[in-house]
Amino acid sequence: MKAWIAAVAVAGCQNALDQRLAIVNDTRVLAIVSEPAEAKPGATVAYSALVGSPHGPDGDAPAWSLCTAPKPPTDDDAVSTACFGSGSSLVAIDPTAAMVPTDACMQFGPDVQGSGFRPRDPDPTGGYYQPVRADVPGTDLAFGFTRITCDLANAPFEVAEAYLKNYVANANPTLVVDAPANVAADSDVTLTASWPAASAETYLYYDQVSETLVTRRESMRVSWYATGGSLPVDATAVDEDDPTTSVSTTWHTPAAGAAWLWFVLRDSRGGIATASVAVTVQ
Amino acid sequence: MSLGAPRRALAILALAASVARAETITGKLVDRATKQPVSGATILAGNELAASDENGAFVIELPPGKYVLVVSADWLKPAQLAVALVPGRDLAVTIEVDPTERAGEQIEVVGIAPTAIGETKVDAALARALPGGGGDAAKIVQSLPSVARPPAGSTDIVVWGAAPNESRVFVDGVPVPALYHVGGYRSAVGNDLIGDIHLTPAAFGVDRGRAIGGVIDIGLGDPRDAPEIRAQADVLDGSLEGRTTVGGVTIAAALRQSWLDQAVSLVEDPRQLAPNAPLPRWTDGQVVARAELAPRTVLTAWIIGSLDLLDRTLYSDDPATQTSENTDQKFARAQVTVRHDRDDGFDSGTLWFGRDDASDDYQFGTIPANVSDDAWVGGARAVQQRRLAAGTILTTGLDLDSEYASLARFGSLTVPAREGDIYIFGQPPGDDIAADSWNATTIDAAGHASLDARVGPLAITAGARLDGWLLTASRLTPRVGSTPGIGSQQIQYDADPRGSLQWKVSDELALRADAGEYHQAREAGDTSAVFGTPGLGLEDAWHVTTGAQWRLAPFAIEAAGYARWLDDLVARDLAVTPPLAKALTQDGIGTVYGVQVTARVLGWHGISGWLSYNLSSSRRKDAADQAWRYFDHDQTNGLIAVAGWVRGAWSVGGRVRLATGEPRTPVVGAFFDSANGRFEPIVGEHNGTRLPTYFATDARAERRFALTGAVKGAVYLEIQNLTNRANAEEIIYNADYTQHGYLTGLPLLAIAGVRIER
Repeated sequence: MKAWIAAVAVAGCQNALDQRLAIVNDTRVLAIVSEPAEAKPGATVAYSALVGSPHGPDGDAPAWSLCTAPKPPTDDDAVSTACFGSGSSLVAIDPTAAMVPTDACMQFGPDVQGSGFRPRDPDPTGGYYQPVRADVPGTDLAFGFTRITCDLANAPFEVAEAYLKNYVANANPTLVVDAPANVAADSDVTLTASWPAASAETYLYYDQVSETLVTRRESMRVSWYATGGSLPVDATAVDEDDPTTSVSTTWHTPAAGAAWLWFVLRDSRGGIATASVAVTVQ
Repeated sequence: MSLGAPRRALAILALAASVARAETITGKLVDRATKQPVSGATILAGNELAASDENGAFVIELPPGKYVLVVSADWLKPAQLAVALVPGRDLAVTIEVDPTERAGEQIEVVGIAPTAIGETKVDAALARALPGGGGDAAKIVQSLPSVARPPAGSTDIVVWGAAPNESRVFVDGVPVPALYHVGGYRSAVGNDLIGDIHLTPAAFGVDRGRAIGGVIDIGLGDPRDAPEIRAQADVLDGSLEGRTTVGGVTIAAALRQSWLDQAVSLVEDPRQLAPNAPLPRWTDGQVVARAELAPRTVLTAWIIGSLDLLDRTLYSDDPATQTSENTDQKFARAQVTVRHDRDDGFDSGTLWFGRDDASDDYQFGTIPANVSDDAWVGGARAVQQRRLAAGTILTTGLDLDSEYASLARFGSLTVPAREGDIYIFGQPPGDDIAADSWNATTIDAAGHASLDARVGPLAITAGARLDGWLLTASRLTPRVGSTPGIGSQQIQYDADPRGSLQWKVSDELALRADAGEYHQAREAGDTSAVFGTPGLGLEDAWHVTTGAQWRLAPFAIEAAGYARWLDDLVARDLAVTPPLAKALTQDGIGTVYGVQVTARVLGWHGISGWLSYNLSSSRRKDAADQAWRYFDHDQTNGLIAVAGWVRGAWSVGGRVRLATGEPRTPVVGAFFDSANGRFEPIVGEHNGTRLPTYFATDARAERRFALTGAVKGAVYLEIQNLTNRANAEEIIYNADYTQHGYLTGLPLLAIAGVRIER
């Protein structure tokens, strides 16, 4: 009996492939920031990318384009396959001043061409998103998102009206990091990321089950990245009902030399803040 | 008197195999001492074989002449009776037999030779003795010919390329929602009180409806055959069974409770277990009563119930990819059947009702997916079988089947996954969130009739089933505020012709073909105005099977070919913006083609079992403009060998299984999703690759012994995956999808248990 139980137990320990992204072993995009995080169709936004490499920040400027093709609701991916290639679904943009398409709520939001079509469903925070693609030479495709302010779909009129009047668009959070610039090799170092309480914003959310507006608070999640050493987790999250405004982790430092740390703070409505820290490991 | 389990299976088998001749011998077997009927014995006359039914009765048709009726059964002393059939006169005989001394528990097997193409019937005693099921009778279904190799931990049953929801499970003719408990370790319909298991993979008769795949019939045994008390325990669970007689009513009851989760937690943190090794908790219970109301009129009633709970969390280094699952499933059924046997047939009536409650709450990072489905179900069945003339039998029946379901759903549109969804193991579902609550009614009132006629070497069955359907859904469009909903209601009819033709080439060889049309209603869960389409109707299928059956007791060989054409299948609308309240379509079509060769042996020197090879192709298309793809559970090659050997107090068994891996959709690239900080896959051809070939061997041994007085005991050991082969169950990927590997099933696994009974 015990042998069998043990046999079952070991099944959990096998076949594990590396599910970690915290150690940056090759050049890749770590985050794409939309400023502001949320905008109405027709508004202007700016995009920037945080690109890491084993040697530190990557200096190559990405090529930017808006993805104009929505994905089918049955697709688990966040982006339509039409935006993976180089077809007409991509529109090149100036990342410093790009306009959210005026039909964004039609393409990616709940607006439909007529009453005979199914409104698109929102994400778990009630949001809809315009994808933007960043092409960094030598890396995988990367997509960022601008949350778009759209009307509610299938909501009672008075609820939709109240939402339109009172909803406050998301703003990117503010990230403050605490990481030493000089550390000893092969040692444990505490890394801390914090944010002002106001960064975890409260927002109006349309509860589809009760068909009412409720006030929720953003959950926060910090992703940790380093060029070497080891990190115990990829990310640390704070739930929306948790008032905590800082999280920490322990970085086991690599051998002596230059190292980089990156911090990416995401709020649950798509807001992102990043920080980069150069570290000398002695 | 009851000598062993009733052998209705063999009686049916033998009757089906018999060929109409000029005269009829009707007979009855009785115990010489008690004068009680003796069931389940075989009667050989000339080249014709029959079996005695529950009342000891048998029928044999032969040309005029002199014959010797040879009665045999493991538990009877051989008996013979010489008779002479005179032209124009039927003959009635009574044969008295004497039982042999029974030495300990015997495993008696009947009826594993097929009647319809691909059909398999297994006695529960044999099923329990074979490896693969841990002593659970209904687990044998997963080892039957025609049944695809199930993924580890799966409760799905795929027969001849049909999706799990296209086949239906019945207990004594009453539909049940699941054959297995969550996790697939045990059957949900009990174990101790099961009498036999009957699979018809395609082209089943007119008495069954609402399925376009196959039919699995679990027959509960006669409670008189149950031991007075029996207790069984192994690492998975424990069960207790008892029997009593109150007046003229025999009642047997069984209860089973799992403790696998507690057992594992003694030595290992369940959180460390793999996603393919869930640790559910299950309970099931059955009560069966039987009373003889009048001579040849029997009332049987039973209640069965099943409870399943599963809570698990798959922890992750990133909370955004941590998943949890909470499953709570219950069902109960109760039925009453009265059957009256006549010399020329029988009348049977059944009333049944039940309740299904199921809720599944998933959380994939921040993405929820909650589904609940609570339903009242009920129905009635009436069957009359009558011999119109020698070799001609008319069977007519009525079949009412109804369901009223209250459903609620909140969360991702793509959970639960449907057949045909592109599924990449480990990828979170789409984060599009919706909600709905609705009701749906499904009522199917059917009448059916079939005529069996035997003319010389030909046996023809022609029948039809006429179904009238009432399908309703409470909302035609999504709910908005307190706006009253306009419901969807439709009445549909279908007339399904079904029939077979058998040519008995010789006493051993028969050629047979079956064909029929089948319909099933959309599922209640698909009628949401948000997640589905309220106006969905009936799915349609045509089945054709053909083959040759060679039978020389105790051996049988069958070569079968089969085809299934599926139409109006419910499938997702893949449009970027589907029409309102039409997230699902009925544009799906499918085809299944295959051949299967099966050799069976029944009780040859104590050996029973089968060797079966199946070659098949099952493909589907979700819309006219889509490309054909392989069915999600398609297995091109399937080989299964199962054998059990009983000798004295020992029984041993083995199982070998080889199967082509199931299709999967390959990952050809990845992109970084900045919103979630993770990579997502870019997929290739839908179901364009496969898991590696599966191979496993299992073995089982049981030793029975006498304790004190009438108390008997048994110990058993079952070893699954004897070669400790690492069979791939899923393709897994690293975080950025640049590497892939396989999630493998359970390694060598030993289950030891003990059983005590009186």
